Amino acid sequence: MLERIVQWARRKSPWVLHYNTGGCNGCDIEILDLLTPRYDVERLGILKEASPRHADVLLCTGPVTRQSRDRLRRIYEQIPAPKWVVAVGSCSCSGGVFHDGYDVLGGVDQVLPVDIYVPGCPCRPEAIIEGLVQLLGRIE
Amino acid sequence: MKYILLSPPVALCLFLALTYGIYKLGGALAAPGEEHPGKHLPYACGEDLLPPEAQLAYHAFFHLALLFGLLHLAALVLSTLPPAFTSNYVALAYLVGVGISVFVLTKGEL
Repeated sequence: MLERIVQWARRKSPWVLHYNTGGCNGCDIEILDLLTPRYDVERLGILKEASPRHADVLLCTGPVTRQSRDRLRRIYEQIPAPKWVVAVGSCSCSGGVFHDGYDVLGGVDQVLPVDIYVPGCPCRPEAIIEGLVQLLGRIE
Repeated sequence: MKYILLSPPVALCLFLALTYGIYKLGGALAAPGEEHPGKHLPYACGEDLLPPEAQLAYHAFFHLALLFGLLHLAALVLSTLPPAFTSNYVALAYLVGVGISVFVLTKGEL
């Protein structure tokens, strides 16, 4: 019973932390669109947080560079369990147009376990919402 | 009964027990976490937090604060002396003692 209440609370309030691992900021702007009244992602209980210690979900944009690899890993470690990772945008999914770069490792899954991939360059806000809703289903 | 519950020691014990209960309940509900090297570091976007470039020094302010503190204390003591000790010499001796104390405290020696 208690576990069901906790699961219900997690499903109703997945707070997200946004981190750009080295992209072009296109997907970041689309993520900010989610907070506008047009998309209003907070109606799903999804709140953008400023600290990993308050977050449940790590929203990653951009390809993982060698410089951001350790930072990304540390941020992931600082999120309390249980935690999920969503790769937003083609670069975050596979490296995108930067995949052959000398300082690019590839997608986020090269460093962290990714739960949901949202492709697109940049991905539409509707696609990000769809990915987050799928993640909510996975949390259940 | 009301006065017993509202007395500070009892209220403190009650709230300590309540806080401990909430803490243990939260710990029971939380998922077991894993220990990582960077887990307990301050959050700085994944980077190491650099120490401040300049340390503020309060040594000069300490002397001033000590002087004012002792002056206030001396004024309080002298103004609340019993009537039998209202002699100016007693007040003067006390102020001299305070002055010597300030000198020892700030300079560290006589």
